[in-house]
Amino acid sequence: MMAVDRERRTRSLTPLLLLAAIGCGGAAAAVPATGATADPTLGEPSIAVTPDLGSPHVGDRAPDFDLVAQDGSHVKLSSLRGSVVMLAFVTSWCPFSEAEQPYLKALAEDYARKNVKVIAVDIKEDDAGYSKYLQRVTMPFPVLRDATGETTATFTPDHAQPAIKDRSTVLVTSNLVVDPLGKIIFFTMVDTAHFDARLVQARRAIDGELARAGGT
Amino acid sequence: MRAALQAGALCSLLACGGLSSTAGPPLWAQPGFYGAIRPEMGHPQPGDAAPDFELPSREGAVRLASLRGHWTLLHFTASWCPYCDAEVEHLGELATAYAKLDLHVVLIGVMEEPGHWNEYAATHVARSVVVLNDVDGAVSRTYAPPRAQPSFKDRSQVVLDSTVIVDPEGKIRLFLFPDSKHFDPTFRAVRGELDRLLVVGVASPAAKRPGEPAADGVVTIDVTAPGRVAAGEASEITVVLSIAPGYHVMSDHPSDPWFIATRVRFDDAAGVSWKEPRYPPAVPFELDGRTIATFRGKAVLSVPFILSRDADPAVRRVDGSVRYQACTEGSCLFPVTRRMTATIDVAPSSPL
Repeated sequence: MMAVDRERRTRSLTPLLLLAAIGCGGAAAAVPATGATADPTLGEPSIAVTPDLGSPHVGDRAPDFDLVAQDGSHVKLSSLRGSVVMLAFVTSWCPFSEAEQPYLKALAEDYARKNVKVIAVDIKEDDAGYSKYLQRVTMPFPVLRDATGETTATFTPDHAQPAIKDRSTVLVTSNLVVDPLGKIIFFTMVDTAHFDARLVQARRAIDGELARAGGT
Repeated sequence: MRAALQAGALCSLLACGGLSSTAGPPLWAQPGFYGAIRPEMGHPQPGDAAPDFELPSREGAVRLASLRGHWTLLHFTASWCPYCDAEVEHLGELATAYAKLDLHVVLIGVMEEPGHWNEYAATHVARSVVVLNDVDGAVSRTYAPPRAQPSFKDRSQVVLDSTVIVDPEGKIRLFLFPDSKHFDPTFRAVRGELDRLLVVGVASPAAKRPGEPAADGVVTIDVTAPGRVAAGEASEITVVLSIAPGYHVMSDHPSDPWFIATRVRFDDAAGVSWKEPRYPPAVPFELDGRTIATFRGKAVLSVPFILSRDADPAVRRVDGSVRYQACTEGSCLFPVTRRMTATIDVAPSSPL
């Protein structure tokens, strides 16, 4: 009940924010382009995993894995060749993961007929944590369990967030798009100051890939 | 409805205009501060009064308002948050480094299970940091601007890993959200801002002046030991607090549960059995139209004890502490726990 209420309030605020942003345009002219906008999504992902962070990065082949989903079935990444794969690293305890959850579900539904497979990898959680993630929003796609964190480690670039001691948590709320040949074409880590909960940038990357595939 | 919305937009526009008129780019466009709160996120903004709160700490309840007169840094955290965890040791270093500039560093756990949180605090957080637990997230929600992280349903999570600097008047001077893109666990930007605010002294007139006493300075503690006491006999140690004129400390039975009670105690010592400390009668003090129970001037406290019959005859050193909070009519200094020592000259037990 509370949640529904809050959502409604957020939605009704949108026109106000939009107007406010337009209103600010004049005053904000003197400040850099990072100024207020109704849509805080940056033009380009702020934390894109590029070669300077280590491997894997955009352009590399995605490491393969074979993990178990919530229904007990195995999912092997390489078996999804031929489809565009959206891969999301999540945990129950991260508020950014939680915020993305409904949008990840919406993305899966919107792209279900476009040969896009969505997969979440739940990182190193106990039964309670894994169940919490699954129960919060019913996900219409495999939520794989990386109970040891080993699979996540193969995706974690060495130089990403060097201050974080537990390396298995570096990729929490990171998103990848893998092309039909298994190559990483999009890889972002959570940018807390410009948080893209709605997955606008991942959708752009998927759309771009689908357009390329359609064009050839 | 539509008219109401447009009126709202107009207000926002005016607010924007006002804030952009300050010289230079806004804080959130400056390196190190990309996570700074933006006007469109809503309140509390810098310049607003920091929402008051009272939360349990390791040493009893702490109320933000009791820190008036001091610079305070609030940092919201969670034991499970990897970014927060990377920062916590540096927060301790910051607290130690800036204590001499009268900065109090307060770490607020957001919705932590108390047992787990206490263990985390004991093993991860320096003693120089005041550790609080916002068990139900209610305080964190009062700090969460309504349009920051709009996708977060649980609003208590919005302030996680945020830093708020509160000036001696209780006003917010910096509100910095985490910026994972430029993540710096060492608080370099925050330290720079503290240097600017505390050292250069753009502080308001109410700020602590260089000559203002520290909490230690306004109360002198004199410990009087009983001298020679035979094993098996009772005696007491007196502790006299001389409180500077204009100041008071709360009595041992303060008028409000969140006031810091004056407490005297001695540590466990072999052969010494400490009894319930005795406090003088409280001095009533009129404050804001009500009477509170205080000590003023001289307060004579005593701690009775009995030596066991087999206590070794020797000069024994015993350690203890006095905890109090000194206040004037207008503001309070930070509560302090001061250590003290006394000696008991144990004589052989008198023959039966």
